[in-house]
Amino acid sequence: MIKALILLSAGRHPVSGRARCARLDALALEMALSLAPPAQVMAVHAGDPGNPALRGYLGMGLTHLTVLDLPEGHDPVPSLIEHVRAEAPDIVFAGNQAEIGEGSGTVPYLIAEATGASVARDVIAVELLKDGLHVRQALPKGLRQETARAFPAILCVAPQAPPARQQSFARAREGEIVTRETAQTPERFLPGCTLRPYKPRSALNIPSGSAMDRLRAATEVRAGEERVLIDPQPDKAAEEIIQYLTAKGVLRKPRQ
Amino acid sequence: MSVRRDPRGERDARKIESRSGLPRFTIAPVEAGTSRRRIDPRAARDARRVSSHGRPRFGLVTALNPGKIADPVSSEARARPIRIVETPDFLVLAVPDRSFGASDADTQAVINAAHRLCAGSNGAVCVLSEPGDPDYGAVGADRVLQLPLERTTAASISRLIDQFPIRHVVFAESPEGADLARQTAARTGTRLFAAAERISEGQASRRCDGGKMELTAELPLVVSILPHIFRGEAKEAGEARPITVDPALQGAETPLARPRLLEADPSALSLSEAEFILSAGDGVTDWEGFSTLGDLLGAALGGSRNVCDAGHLPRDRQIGASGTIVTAKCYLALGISGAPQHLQGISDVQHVVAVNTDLHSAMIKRADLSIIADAQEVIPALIDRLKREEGRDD
Repeated sequence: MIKALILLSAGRHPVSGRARCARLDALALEMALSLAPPAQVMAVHAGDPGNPALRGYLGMGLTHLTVLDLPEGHDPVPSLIEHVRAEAPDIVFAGNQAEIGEGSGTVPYLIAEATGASVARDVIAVELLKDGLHVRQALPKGLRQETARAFPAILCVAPQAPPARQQSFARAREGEIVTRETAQTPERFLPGCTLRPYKPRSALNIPSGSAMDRLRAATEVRAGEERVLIDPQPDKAAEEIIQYLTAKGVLRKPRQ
Repeated sequence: MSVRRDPRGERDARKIESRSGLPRFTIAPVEAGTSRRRIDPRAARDARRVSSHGRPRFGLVTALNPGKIADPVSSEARARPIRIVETPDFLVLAVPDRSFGASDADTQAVINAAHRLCAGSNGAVCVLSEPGDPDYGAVGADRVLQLPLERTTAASISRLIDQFPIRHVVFAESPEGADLARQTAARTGTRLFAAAERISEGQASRRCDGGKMELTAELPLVVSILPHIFRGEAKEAGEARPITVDPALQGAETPLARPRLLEADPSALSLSEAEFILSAGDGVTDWEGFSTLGDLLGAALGGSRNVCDAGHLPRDRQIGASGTIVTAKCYLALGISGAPQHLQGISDVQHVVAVNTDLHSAMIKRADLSIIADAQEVIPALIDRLKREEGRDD
């Protein structure tokens, strides 16, 4: 039976601000729990053991959740590396990035660098093989790709992964949170940063300048190549459109 | 411009000393050197006269208002200036985006961001090139590092950091760039500044805390940027001087196997992700035919605001300023006349095909291929032709 360790972080509801499971971590836990054949799933969180968000993961079917007790403002990476070394899992699951805090998605890479594992990001599905695994990853524009990875591997789960199962309140109460003492390394980077509320910028590229400039930019039409067919027969029009789309490489190539 | 007579100045020039205190003037001619220069409007107007015969015509250019002088050489024909950095104090390494489907604009964005990091100091932007890459001079590279490897790896980048005075390494936050940036940061033991949105004077900011907060910090060694924010043409071309890398110092580790690409289902895609969009406006009434055509073309379906308001398509399929702003490669517009808000939504589309009955509509001006016909007649013809082609292939 292969061993899977899952790195869980606390999340926050984007509207109400209440503590909850991080969405990506819940997807990662779902992927770990639904591995076929089933794996031995262990879970770890570095932070406050009393965080109510952690109960949600137990509600998904975990019986134990190890929490490395770290106060706020401490670096979780050294503790996590130590834990991963001790447990020596075949697969480590994590979300692409955390929902609160810096959220740069670097923690799995730091663990991989320390333990000699390989990392795959944007994972949406996993297939276990005898001595490794097939990983399916999401790319932009709806494309998917498949790679083969050897053990040990660290998989970061993308938001496009299959949805997480429902949480059971009874299981969330029954599940056990095991607190462990760990070395405490203070965080050095974040105290030197300035934080302020994010101001969204428009997706439209509106230039600065006078009102006239902005109006012109908003209403101006970029002229195309301007090949115009006036009142063609419908069949001729269809032929022209298909020819154009094929020439631009948009239409799927005819099957062989 | 001639000088108009200034009577007060002339009188002041003729003034001579008087013992009685009353003003006295000489009648001898004096030079009016001290007089104020005044503009002669008649002379100025004569200078603007364009043709002397017939009705008088005047141009807008005067000595006082020279206007813009037309450049005899068109701006395109004029070569862009080439920036030359002879002895840079440091290098900023720009790693081109090699993700599947990445465009030249993404690589350009990385180089633009690298230039922001050099701004105000004597630094040079160095592009990490692989065999078979295009010329990076035109997009603003000062130096080009050619690795003797088939694929860039984090290990090879960290070795370059040891060899050259590299102050920052810039990646695109795309699937491959994000992966390589994190590996490089972990390998070099430095903090990654991921998904930077703004860069100025050595400081950068990014979203954090689930997108609610903005974090600003001094830039570390490894930076990844959001490519769509830094898009835009290079202001100056670079000389793209090659830098030689000692092959002995570049180990020959084998990178991970290249991934295998799988086909995507366009109907399950959100519009902002779609590569090819079939879009309908008020000129479409046969919605079954429209959806069949979408299936046959392998296109995602979209529509104008009117169509979504009428309930023919769900709201998430609306394209335009108040709907989705799409970045598709190709956009086939059926029966859409092109309201400005709709055209804003497709401003980033590469190829536009329009079918509309109105020759003078804005969509026809925007389109690369325009068909002036009723969309309702073209839809069955297209379906017919695509079905025939499919049948022939089977």
